[in-house]
Amino acid sequence: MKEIARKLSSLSFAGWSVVALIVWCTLGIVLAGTEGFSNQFHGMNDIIIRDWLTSPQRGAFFWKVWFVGLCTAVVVLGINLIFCSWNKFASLIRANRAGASKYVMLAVHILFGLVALGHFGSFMLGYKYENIRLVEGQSFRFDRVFSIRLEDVHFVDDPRVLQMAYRDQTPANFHYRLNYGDMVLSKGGEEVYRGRVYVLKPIRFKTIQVTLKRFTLPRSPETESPGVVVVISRNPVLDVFFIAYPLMIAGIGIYLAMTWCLHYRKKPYQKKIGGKGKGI
Amino acid sequence: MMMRYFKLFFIPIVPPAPLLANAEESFNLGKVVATVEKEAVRIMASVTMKNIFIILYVGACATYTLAFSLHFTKQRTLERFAAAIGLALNGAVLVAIVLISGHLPVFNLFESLVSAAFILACLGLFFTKVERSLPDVAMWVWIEILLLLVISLLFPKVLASSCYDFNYPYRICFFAFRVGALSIILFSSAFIIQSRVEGKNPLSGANRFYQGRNFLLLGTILFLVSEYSGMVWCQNGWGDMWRWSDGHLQSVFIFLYLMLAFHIQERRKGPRGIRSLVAGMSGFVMLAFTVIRGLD
Repeated sequence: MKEIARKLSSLSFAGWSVVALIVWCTLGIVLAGTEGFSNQFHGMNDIIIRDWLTSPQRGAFFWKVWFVGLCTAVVVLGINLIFCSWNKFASLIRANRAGASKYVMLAVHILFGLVALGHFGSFMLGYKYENIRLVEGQSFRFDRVFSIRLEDVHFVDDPRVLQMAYRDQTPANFHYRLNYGDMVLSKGGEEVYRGRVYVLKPIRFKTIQVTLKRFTLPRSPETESPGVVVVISRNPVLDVFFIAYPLMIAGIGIYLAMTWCLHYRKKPYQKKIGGKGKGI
Repeated sequence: MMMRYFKLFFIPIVPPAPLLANAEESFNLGKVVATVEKEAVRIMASVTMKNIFIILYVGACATYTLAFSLHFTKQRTLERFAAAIGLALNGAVLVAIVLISGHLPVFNLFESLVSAAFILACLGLFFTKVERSLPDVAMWVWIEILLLLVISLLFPKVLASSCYDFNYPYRICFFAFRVGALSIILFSSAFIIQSRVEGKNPLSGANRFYQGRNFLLLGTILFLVSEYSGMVWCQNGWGDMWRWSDGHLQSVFIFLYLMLAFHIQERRKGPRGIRSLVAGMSGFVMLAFTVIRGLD
């Protein structure tokens, strides 16, 4: 049992898990850029992955296998992370004078685990309704009790700009900070939130987010206001992810600062060159 | 007066469509002429700037090549002088890009490569020591700078269009930190490659490797900051921090590769130096993905 635990926590096991992930990811990159596979791959963005995975009508079987393979490789890496962190924690407790940098590195690994869990949680928890088209006065029901209504659209630019490609929409002809839609979110028919949604500035009510992807060209630009395309999403672990990620970066930064000169401070005979059992 | 001067350049003046529409609505000849003249001055300034920018770019490439040649002939003072001139010209190219396009030079392949060359040259000038024997770290840095410039020569020297959201802070951070990460990881590669070369002298080789490891970690931090900015941008723009796209998978690949570089072990059996090989290739892996992404 101890031998299995030692192997599962080893650096070599971590290395091979990462190699497996790299190979799997390369397969995904190659196929995602191949005609025939590409459309189905991008279709994974349309709904939350949990629904995409379980719905027989949605998604190609191949991509589902690929996704499950990807998750399996991450789970294997996660097992290594748990065993390795536990061993490291136990050895730090045992050691009388463990360096502070080792604690920081342990914290970085735990935070990485949280980030990975947050990422996985965003695939499996909550919901997502992509490309909901609304015009003034229209509403959309979701998650049984909620509905979103577009009350008003404020568009200061020439609506013909919406026909242009993204590259041609410049700050001179499209003012993304001045154009907005007034949205009303209701729960069970009762208004719970009212707000202005801009491009790149979504509105949030608890864990529900309404994102304005773009405006749509009205049928008669002279008389009608543009419509909107919104994404309604709920990700209960979003905050955990967005807090753990910068903490992980800060942890690596602190670790780097603590160990920047460590190697030079050691005496020559203490230096381990290319020794086994050490990562960088 | 300005119009006559402008015509000398034989550039046809086509007033923008909204301007013509205004003219039709309320025909005010003086106003239209003034606006056209203003527009002409702007285009002329842009054309002149573009010529200057190309001249500066060619100058930077030439002086960097000269500095690299002087490095081989071990004329250190002249090399530093040429490098400083190359750096100044490179910096001037970046300033010209900012003046012409109005945005930071980080948004397309050409801009990224020229910016990365500038950062790398700064690091090479200020963080490498003059050494007696060749090859040394500075030589690998020169090779990397020239590689960046050769790649930039192969692609059109066009500037990224200023889309409506070009000044969105998270978008800027995503691209800018990525360029920073590319240059610092390339710099770390120079140290790690040198550590492999100095393998026969284990103590010095290990020191180099450790320096490379420091810069690799620093580059990784910048890469993660870039990714974080990208995720916030994605969350605010598309309602999800993750999109299933080639670009996102490429980012994951780079992240995993860096993870591998930090976790790989030396093998007891088989070829030695696998760790330094993987870590040393990090910069080039990231460069390859930058080029692939730039081709889209």
